[in-house]
Amino acid sequence: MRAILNHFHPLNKLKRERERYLANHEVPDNIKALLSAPLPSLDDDIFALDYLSVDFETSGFDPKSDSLLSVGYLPLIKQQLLLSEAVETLIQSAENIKAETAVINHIVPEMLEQGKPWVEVMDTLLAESVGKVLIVHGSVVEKRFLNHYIAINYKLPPLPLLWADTLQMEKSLHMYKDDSATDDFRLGSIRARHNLPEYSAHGALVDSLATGELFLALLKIHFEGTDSSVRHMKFDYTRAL
Amino acid sequence: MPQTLIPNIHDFLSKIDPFDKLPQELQRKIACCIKISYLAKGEQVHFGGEHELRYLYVIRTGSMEQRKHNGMLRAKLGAEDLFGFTFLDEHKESQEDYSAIAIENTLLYLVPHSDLLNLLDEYPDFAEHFASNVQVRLHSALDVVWSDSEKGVFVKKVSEVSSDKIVVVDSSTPIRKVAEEIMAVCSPTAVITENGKIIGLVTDRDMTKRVIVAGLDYNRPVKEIMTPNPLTVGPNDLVLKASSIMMQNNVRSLPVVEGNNVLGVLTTTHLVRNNRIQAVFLIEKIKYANTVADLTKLTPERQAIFEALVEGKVSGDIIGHVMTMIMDAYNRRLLQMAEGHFGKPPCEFAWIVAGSHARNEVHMLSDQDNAIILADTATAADRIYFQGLAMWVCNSLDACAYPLCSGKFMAVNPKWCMPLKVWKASYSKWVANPEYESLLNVTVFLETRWLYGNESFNKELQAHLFSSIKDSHVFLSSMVRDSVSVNPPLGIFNSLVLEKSGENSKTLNIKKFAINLLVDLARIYGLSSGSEKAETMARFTHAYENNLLSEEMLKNVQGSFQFLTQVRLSHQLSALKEGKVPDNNIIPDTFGSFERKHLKDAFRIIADLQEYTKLKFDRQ
Repeated sequence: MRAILNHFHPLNKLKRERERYLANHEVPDNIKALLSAPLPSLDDDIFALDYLSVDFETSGFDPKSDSLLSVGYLPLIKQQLLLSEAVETLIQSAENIKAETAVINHIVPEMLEQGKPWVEVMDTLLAESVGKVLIVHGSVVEKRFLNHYIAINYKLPPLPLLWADTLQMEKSLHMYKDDSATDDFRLGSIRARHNLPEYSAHGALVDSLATGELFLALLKIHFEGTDSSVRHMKFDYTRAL
Repeated sequence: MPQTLIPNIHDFLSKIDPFDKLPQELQRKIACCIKISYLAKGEQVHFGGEHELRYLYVIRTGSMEQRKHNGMLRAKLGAEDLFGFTFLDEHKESQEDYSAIAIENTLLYLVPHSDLLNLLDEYPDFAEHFASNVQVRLHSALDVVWSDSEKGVFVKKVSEVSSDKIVVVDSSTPIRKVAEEIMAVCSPTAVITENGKIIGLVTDRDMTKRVIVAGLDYNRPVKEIMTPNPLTVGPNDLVLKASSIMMQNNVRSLPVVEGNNVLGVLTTTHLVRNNRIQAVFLIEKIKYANTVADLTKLTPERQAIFEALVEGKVSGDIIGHVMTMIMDAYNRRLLQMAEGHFGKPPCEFAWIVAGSHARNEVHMLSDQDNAIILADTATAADRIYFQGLAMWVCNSLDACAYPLCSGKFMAVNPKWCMPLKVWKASYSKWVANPEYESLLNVTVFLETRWLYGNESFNKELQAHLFSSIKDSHVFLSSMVRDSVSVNPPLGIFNSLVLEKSGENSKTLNIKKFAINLLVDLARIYGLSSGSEKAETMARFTHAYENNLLSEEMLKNVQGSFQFLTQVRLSHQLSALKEGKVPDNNIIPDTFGSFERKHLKDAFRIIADLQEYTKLKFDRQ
């Protein structure tokens, strides 16, 4: 019985999807490394996994018409966010920066000229992601732009990666509660509810840090006093959006 | 390693002590090696025994509790508080002293020990701020507040303010030649030597008085008009010491001398250049005041001096000394005036001061503690004279803003105006029956200082006190019991003072719950080691010299006493500036992270010393 349940656990489904993906597609070594790294097993402790908290700054929601401006991420290992390994890179591409986005992100075309090429930045991110669960807050932007990159650069369909979305985790906390006060799911507002400090600056790295801290807090709440094995964690398995 | 700047982390660190003392570059480097962790309520920090797993912890949000292994609360910590300094000590065993538990959900920044040590190797000047040792940390805190450039002239060395223009002549030099040299060099003073040894001094004033007015032959050797065995100061003496020598002896210049080498001269003019020496002038004015009304007019000036000293970040013990010298001057002058009113005293007596006045620790809140020791021959009629005199002096001091003592420890109280033999009998009784006599009522008289009249009375009385204590088995231990019955708070938590009982109060009475505890302990150590000096720090130092305290403890206590005194004086200053009556109740909201951290260190040192003292004197 347990074996059957395990078989249908989304994590094991993801495992099979990865195997199929590797079998059906001709993939370069870096993608192969990413997809063949072992996924967590259902009995692992959720607190013992390695994570990478990621945030993209973009000029809009549509990768076809908008551009990726900067990428920020930092690892979360053994329940500690490591600032020493934090990365923030601007993408070298002066096209398509809308004035209003530049204001929000404080990124202007001149700054982007100092950035690194798209391919280099994204491939570094993929390399960093090997063996890690990706943490994002509201996964739409990150997934779309990552899928877009994989499609353009490798001519491949979206990668079967393992994600954790702090926005979904927070919403699930309120699912069975009837409190209309909590319909504000902006990162800053959620953080304030969990007694996390206000981060006034805005940027890919700061946001990925803010997301990582929130993830730590949410994990503690979700698994307080209960079995913290991976089988009880609601990861985000959606690929395309 | 990508040195990506995370402005939020850097901003936060740069505002809290001790990171705010570091250069930006170092702050940034430290920020870059931080690890962030989150503790749910009730979760405990796992202190790594391994060297590389040790951290300095900074609370970003939330709150924590430190408990000793026996479960006793050690401290409560809130946002911006740091802990884990003790783990920074490389030699420290991995065994931890305490555990740390989150009492709310807490976001923690962890600075890895090994990274911090490597960075501090690059910036050795800042290593003290992270010392594992509280005493070193307190010391560096004081340094920051009292930088050398800010120190007033009192704490400068004589060599820093004196002039090197001075005439040195042989004793056989004709007076006229000496006068010419004095004029040529523009020095008010000539030092007279004989065979290379300093034997005398001549000032321009002496020339007028002893030569011109006396009609003396200018060709006589200068030896005939010099002042023999002159007062001198050393180049490394404090200006405070030099100025008090000048005041006590009524001289206007002092040669600066090292061995038999004349280096220069210090004159009142040199002191005037810095207005903080106005204390000297106030004392002059007090000396020449003719009425109580004249004296009362000087109160604002006294307050101005106090404010200048506190603002000038002069150390607390020096402020105490200066304010004491001023209070002494008032008291002496009033006694002289009183003798003018009431006539010559009918018998020998000594006017002594007690408490903080005797300890040279006067500040703006000090009230008067004084007493009279009469000669044993005093008659009933004599006592009536002194009652009148004391009444007048005490009330006049009150008029000069030295309030009457609420405990009535004043010469005006017949109990404290007694013949020497009665005083001695009282001391014997107190020492023999400390419980019965309720020690707390008389501790103020466990330090006395002679101020006026027959000094030997006070000396005899003190000798009697010390020998009585030596013979007593119960006295010191019962003093210890009394003094450790009040404990310092555990720390400042949010805007509350956390008391050991677990209760909170809204204000910190820094006198009752910190300074007095040290003063009491110092008294115990001073009396048990027979210290003649009554200053709190002098007593601890004497105890250390007599092996009652370790050097480590002495330094710890020194740092915390200075820090607490400084906090108290600054608090008084700000009250005065707002036109309020200063008190000892400090509202924790006014503390920055700097004060909170260092107060906590100071409280811990007091608590440790209380524990140590309890054990030490119980065994005896």
